[in-house]
Amino acid sequence: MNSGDDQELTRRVIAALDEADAALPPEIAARLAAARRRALAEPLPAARFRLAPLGFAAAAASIALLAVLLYPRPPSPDDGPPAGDLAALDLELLAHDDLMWLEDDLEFYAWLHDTAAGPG
Amino acid sequence: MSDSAGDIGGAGAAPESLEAFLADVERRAFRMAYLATGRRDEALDLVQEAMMSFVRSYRSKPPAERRPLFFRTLDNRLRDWHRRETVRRRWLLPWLRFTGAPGEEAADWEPADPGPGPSALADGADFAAAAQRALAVLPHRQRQAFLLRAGEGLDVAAAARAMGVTPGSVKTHYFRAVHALRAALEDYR
Repeated sequence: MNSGDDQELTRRVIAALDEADAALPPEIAARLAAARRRALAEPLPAARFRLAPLGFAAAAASIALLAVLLYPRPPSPDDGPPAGDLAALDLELLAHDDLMWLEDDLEFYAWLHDTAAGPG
Repeated sequence: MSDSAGDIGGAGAAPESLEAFLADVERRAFRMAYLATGRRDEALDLVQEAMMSFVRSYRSKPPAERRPLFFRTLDNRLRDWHRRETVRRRWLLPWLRFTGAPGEEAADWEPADPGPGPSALADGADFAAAAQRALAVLPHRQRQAFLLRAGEGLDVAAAARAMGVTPGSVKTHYFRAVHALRAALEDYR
């Protein structure tokens, strides 16, 4: 079959489909028309997204606020020692307290030993 | 391979108003969706979804660009439907049959119809029915290439945009579609 035959076949097929479309049942034609009207009644994108700039502004303000809150503040003389120094100081104090308790305990145990080993 | 289908069918010049454009394409869009799904209600739903999406996204496009964009929108809906249907057929239907739940909804028409008897071959209505059956059983891309090129009169580049494929792919699908239709409608020549 040559290209002319193919074109003739194609023409017949499309003509048959067009005839079928023209004879579409009225209820389907009505539903298609209703679908078209519904689609065209959709609000314009500009109207639907009128609030978008406000949303962007709110988002930008939130990000800015967050950045201000989280930005590292430069150290001030009133701030006291930095957090790392505080931890070391605490450790030193705790260790010192423990040593003092240990000294007290040793003195107590020595007294107890002496008392127990005494003449009584 | 022939790629000259633009003069066969076609919908003529692009209408200026959006409503006139949709009124012009809606029946052919329904036919395209009906051939793809075989179900009238689903075809109507898909056309409506495509219209709404098209109007939402492309209402400001120039009239000359509307046709490929609209059929691209519809083709996306049809391919989504095919994906969902494939999953449904593969996983859901066997499970429904297993549990005894209501099964598959029957197609509004039966694509596997063996065709008319010899006495009816000369009848134009039978040719139309046979043509629709032949189109319905084509692979999706072949059917789309045929309907867009021959039915909508899109050139190869516009049909490629509408289908989301390369122009070479459109030519191949169109050629195969014509070949398959020729074989299926051999008795009606």
